[in-house]
Amino acid sequence: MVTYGGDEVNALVLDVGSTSTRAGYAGEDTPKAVFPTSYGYLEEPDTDYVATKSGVDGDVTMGEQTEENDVRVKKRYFIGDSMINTWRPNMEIKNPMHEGLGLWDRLIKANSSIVNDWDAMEQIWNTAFRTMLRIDPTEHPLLCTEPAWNTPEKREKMVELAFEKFEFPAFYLAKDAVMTAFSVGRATALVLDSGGSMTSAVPVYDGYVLKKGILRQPIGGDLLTKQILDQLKNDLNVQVTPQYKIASKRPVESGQPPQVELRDRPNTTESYNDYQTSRVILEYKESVCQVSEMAYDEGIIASRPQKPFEFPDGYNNSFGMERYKLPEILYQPRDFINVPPQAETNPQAEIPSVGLSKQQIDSSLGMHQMVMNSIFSCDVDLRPLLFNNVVVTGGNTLFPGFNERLNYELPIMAPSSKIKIHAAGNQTERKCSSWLGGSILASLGTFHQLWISKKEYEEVGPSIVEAKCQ
Amino acid sequence: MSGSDIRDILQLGKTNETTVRRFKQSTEKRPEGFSRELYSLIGGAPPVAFVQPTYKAKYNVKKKAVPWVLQPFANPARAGDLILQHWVKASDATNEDYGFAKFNKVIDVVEFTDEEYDRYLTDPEWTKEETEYLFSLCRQYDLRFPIIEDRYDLPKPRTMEDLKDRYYSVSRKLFKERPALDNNTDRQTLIQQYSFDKSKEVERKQALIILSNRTKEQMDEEEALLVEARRIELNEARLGKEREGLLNMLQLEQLQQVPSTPGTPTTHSALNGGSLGSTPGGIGITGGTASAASGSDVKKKKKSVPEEAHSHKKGRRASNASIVEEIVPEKKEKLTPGVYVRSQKLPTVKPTMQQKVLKVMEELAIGARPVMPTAQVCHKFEQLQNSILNMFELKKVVDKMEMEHKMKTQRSRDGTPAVVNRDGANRKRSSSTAGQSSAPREKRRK
Repeated sequence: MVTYGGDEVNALVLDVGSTSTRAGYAGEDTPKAVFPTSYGYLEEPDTDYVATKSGVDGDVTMGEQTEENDVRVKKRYFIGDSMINTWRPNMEIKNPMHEGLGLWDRLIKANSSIVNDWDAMEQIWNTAFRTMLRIDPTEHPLLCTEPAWNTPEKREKMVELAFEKFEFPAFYLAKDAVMTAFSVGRATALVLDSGGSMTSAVPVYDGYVLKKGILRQPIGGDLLTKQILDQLKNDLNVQVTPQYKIASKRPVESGQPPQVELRDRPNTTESYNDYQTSRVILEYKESVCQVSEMAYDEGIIASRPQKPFEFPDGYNNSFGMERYKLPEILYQPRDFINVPPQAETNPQAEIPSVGLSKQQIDSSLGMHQMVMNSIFSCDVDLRPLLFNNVVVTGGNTLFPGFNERLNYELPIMAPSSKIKIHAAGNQTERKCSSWLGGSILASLGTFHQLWISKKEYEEVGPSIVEAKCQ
Repeated sequence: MSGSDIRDILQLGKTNETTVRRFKQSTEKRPEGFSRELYSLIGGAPPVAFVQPTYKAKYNVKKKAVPWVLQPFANPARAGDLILQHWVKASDATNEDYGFAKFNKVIDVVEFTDEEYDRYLTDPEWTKEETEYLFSLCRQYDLRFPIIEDRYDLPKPRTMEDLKDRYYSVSRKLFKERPALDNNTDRQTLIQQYSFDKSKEVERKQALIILSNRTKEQMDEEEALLVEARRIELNEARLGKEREGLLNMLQLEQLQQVPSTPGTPTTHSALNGGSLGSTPGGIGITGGTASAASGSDVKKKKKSVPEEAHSHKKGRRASNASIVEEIVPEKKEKLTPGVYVRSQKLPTVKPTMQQKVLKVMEELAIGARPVMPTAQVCHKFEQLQNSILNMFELKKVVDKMEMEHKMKTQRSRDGTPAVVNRDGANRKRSSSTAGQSSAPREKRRK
């Protein structure tokens, strides 16, 4: 009977990241539900229960909205790709990981990528389980992932959420770096995770995270998006118009200003506009940008072919130097982040076009340096192991040339070590690697002794998570 | 072939064409499930590719469906009583223990009571709480010391060597002090297992750190050295043989020039040693001039001469010089058994040279054999003979040199370009043969 290590107990795996959330069944190779973590939020005065049920502007809201019959205000959450991208007046876009503030307004503190808004988190869980997966939580154990630097308070809150609000029979909290390592079949690895909100280098030894080697910095896909907007506005004089504003457009020659008619969208919130703009830029970034495989050299880069791109408003152009210059931020942040001169006066203040303060930019490292520093903070016996198992994951690493550049830079810094970099080839796998590891873990026969059961939680309390989920 | 053609062939009359055509059309519609027009286009033959497969997958109704059961199970490796469910084939659904529970291996970390601690395990640097905390971490993380060090969270910082040292020393002491249930030998091995030398570990890690911090240049140097070492190893056999030949040649020299007295060779050996050490080509020449008689050695000499020209053989030459100097003082007379006449032991000269040698001796008014062959007389006689032979050799070489020199000067006078290298070598060679100078030589290539 025990022929291989798997024994599925219909567990669920939930992996909430700062850009996207992944949920699905353990034992499968891709999550069933992948949707953005950002959500739409609408507060309305609660006038008439019946009237509001049909929705403000004809949207079908049955089953997707949570109504709190607060006399003063009713909160509506719009979670899921189609829900968030439909234009609604006064709808804010928020992200539970960023202190509940708007995307552009967040102050990057050291707690990035940790949950700050638990109501929103609950809504996301709700949508994932009841709407998208359509399961009854009482029947399935849940494996959840957390960042390696999560605080004990947040951890306890998550256990509470699972057992008290949703009543799962069993629960476990796994570190996402360890899950990524498992997804590539390794128990020891150095996980370089570059995602939307931040990049982190976490050493994993034998399935445990070495906390003293964790390095993280708030440079990720979102920062690149902001910088692209800045670059387009200042260097190329391009106004990016998001899709929802466009009523009609006409084709124009390359480089010519767009000829577009805008729709009238009154009461659009700034956060919604920013979010939609960032989606356009995301497409630009994914289609056009590339990382230079060797050390950045203007001459070589200038001779590379240009790539054309057309924006939703019809403006199109070929982009050459810009598309290499931008992702170079990942490897040389201090030199390539565009810092406006007035930022020099107050290094602590956040620069709006960047999202970081000058001080933070000056203390930022390139990707290769993060890997090196993280490995060198570990015991010397472990270093060859870690060098031999560098795992690259995260959506931000999907730039063409990213891995080659890392493979070029690392041996220069550590010539005496054998360096091997592993990166999942598949796009989905790179974005969902921690979910995948969780799926593997929760379907192993030998894992089932580690679950925290509801009864144990009731006996011991939330602090059981510190004891059991290391 | 259409219907009308067939009728023409068979010479049938015109029948009701419409009905025939309809009949024909309906029959044509049957095959292959695609349109008539296409069928007629391709000439009525069924195309291989368009034939629909007539195989239909059928359910294998003979095999009965195997029932699967959603079976709840308890995991004995768990502390609590969580009941999970999994799908099991009904035939396999026994109520045995959960198969995966046996993988729950626990490493036994030694436990101690308070009295044991107070008696054996007190340490000036470790408090009891720290020790107990350490041991609980060891139990939790299964003795994975990198993680234990990472999670060790007390205010006083400890290195991994500290933690390991404390753990191993406590375990060792406990094993020693506790009454052994097994016999003494087992206890010894147990104690050995828990040996840990803290200073050695610290040193080892330092060395590893230095190793890992090597720069690229150092790595390249190391690579080059390794390649060199491997090459030398491979050629060891050949090099050894050449070394042997060289030694033999030198020994023969010593034997010929200094047969019995160990005292006199010092000058020659010093000369040899000097020339060996400094003139790379010198050995070849002295070897050549000394034992011109031995024709077989010539080839070896010729081979060793270009070899000697390589700079990295200096080490060997130095060792050869020392060997020669060592060997020479140790040379003793070959003692043959029985009675013998000393004059019999005088070295003979090759028949080709003999006439010349005798002639020279005549000029010097010395007989072919010494009149009174005492030890000293024989020694001197030998010396004389060797010097004469040397002289002939030198004469040969000098003649050759002079000839070449003449030719060269003539050629240069005639306007043909002279090879400078060879001239320089010639000049140097003649100077060395003349006075055994220790001028450094250029590398000569054949």
